[in-house]
Amino acid sequence: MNSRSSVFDTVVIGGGLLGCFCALNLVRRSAGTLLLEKREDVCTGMSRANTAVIYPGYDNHPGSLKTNLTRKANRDLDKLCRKLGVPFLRCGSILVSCGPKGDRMVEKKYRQGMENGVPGLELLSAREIRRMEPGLTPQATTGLYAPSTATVHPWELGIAAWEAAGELGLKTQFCSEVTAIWKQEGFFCLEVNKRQIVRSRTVVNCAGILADRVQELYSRPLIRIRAELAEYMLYEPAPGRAPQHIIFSETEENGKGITLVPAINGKVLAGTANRPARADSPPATSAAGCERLTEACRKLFPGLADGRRIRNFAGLRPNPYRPDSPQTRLCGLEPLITETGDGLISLIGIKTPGLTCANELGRLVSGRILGLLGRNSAEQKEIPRRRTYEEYLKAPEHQKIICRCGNITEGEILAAIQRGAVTLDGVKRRTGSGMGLCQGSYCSARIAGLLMEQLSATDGRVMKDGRDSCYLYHENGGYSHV
Amino acid sequence: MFDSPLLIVGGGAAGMAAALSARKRFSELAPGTDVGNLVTLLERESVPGGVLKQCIHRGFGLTRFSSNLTGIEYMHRFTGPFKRSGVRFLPDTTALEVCPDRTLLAVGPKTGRCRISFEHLILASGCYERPFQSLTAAGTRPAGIYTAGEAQYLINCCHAEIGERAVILGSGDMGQILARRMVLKGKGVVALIEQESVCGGLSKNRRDCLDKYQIPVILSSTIVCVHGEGRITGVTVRNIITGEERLIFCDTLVSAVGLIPEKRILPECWQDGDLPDWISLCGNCHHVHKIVDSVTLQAEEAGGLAAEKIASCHFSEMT
Repeated sequence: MNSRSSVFDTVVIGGGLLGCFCALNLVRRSAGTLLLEKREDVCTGMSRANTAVIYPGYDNHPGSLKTNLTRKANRDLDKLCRKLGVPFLRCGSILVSCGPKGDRMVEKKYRQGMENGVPGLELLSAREIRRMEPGLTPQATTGLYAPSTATVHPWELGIAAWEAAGELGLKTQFCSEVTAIWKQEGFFCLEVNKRQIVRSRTVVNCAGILADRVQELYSRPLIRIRAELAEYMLYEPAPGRAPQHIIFSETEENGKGITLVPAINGKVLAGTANRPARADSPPATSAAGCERLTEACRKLFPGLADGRRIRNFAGLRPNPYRPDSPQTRLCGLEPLITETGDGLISLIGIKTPGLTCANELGRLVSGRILGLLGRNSAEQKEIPRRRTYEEYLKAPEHQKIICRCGNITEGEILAAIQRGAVTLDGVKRRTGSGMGLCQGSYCSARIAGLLMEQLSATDGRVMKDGRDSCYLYHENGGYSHV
Repeated sequence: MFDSPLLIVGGGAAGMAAALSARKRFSELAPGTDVGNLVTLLERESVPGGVLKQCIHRGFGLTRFSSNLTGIEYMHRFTGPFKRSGVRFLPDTTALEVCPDRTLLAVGPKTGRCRISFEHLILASGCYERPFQSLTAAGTRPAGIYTAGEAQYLINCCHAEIGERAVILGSGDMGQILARRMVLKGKGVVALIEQESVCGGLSKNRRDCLDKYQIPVILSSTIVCVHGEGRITGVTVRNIITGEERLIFCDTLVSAVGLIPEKRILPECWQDGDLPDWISLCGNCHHVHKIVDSVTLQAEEAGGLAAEKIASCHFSEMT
């Protein structure tokens, strides 16, 4: 890698949702791009565990970057998802309150939303709420209906963007942690895994929960991250007991109310219960969080809480702050997009509405990078059609169902492996396998067998999710797939 | 689309017994008819046998055959006759959905996505396992957590190793048999955890599995937290009476916390309520049976009754 020819226009650090969309927008404008991802797959961090909501744009101040990006992103979502081949559900949302404090907040958001030009907003009376969502708590007093709110699996969106970027020439290097960054002869030098050096003209830092630490490898970060854990509960609702809209709630107490999301796959996600956490430790759920969620869910949507629980899980979220004034709350997106002035752009601490605005942020960052490269006029290529892998999906011999809960065929699993899945959870994120009521107790062993076959992992080392997460125990343990 | 007067979903102990008994009844009622045109059996795997395929332990057939067979031996008492029976067998085929117009949507390599119309449906689809995740314990979500059936499949059918130090949750028969299997493979079972104050399962199993191999049992306790980043490294166990907690180190967690009858191909409204008279359930999808012998018995009855019902309208029409 020492040859001068191997200088990339830009290196994107971190293959989460934002990294994938930055990369996609960069290659769409013909920038020679390398994506460096610490893990073995894209979308394994924050992108895999969050509320999965595409916001309508009434939460933020008129005229702010957040509002403008959210509104535009929300409007363009149908087209984007269609191009990327990602299912999404524009189910609309209702923000409900159960008392005077919440009512005031709902009304404030209504006014703000009207000013922001959010389409179709309606204030709902208690009776109208009951009509639209009979399962909601009878205590609900005021509601704000936003028809444009939608939901999408964030990892599906990210993976699709990464695949599209790959079609346009994105190079990706997995299991590649950036361990040092410096500048030499006008180029960035990124040390990977303390061994390899990658050279580039510019750098985009999308390292998610560790973005401030990656920034620190080069210069003092202007923004720091305080990590927070968000806990979620996934329900399989009884028939007719699921909410039809995304439900946001305002509480009368301090803190945020919970959100219920009727997911694309028919399940309902309830979140979040939050608590402080360490950015480098694995997300763990807590008994208190589980109890808080269940209790809040029972209050808000009683029929759902009595339904079947599939699982609970936790995800990390970044809370950005300025190191010089740690107590001041940071508002808006602008301060979170930082530039060193010599070619490194960082996205540090972007949470809500990061999913909604992923493509818009990618476009914005790629524009600035192109400016730094002096190619402002670069033409934008179309998002390519996604490869369909029909040889697997349609072939009769692969029409055997492997995952019973999601009715997922062997062909779909083989296609997911062709598309880049190397772990059980990688297959899960691409196909939805193992997400149902049995949580993979039937299909995991069979999918592990397919992974071993396809990846020629004869030593039986198939990972669940990441290094050291061996699905089987003995690394030389024989495995004969039946 | 094709039709089959009698359609059986599931080729385990129940499905095979139902098919054989239906065939027998048909040949009694109308000798000489081709049973292949009357009975079809769908099986999601390549060979019949269901969960018996992974049961290499004894304790099967005590009442039915008055001998102490392994699950596989018990299975072979049926697979042979079943293969020779002439019943139409569709392997690798999964039933997706039963529709109120007496059709069933299925998918498989042989048939593709197809609709099968029938007069009577016997659901013999067994159970699925309640996974540990549904208990919503606190902690991380590492690798190394299996259900008992999954672990049994991996050990007995794939000849794979699942761990050296296992904690097993649930002292029912599944948990006990798996504990013994691990010990027999030379692996340690650090604890078998049961939330009730007494051990579950058949007394025979308690004697043959737990007592004989001195497997440590922790009663009145449950797992409240899972530890570990890549692979599981331990669990926190809480005594639900005293509240006392302790950390147990392990590299494997096997949960045997319940079986749920697999009826998800039925429309939601029929899953818990009354079924139309053209569907019967038998085996573990009807209720969880203690022993396979009673599964066979129930399935044979269901198969015979279905055959009689079909014959009463079919053969009178033909003559």
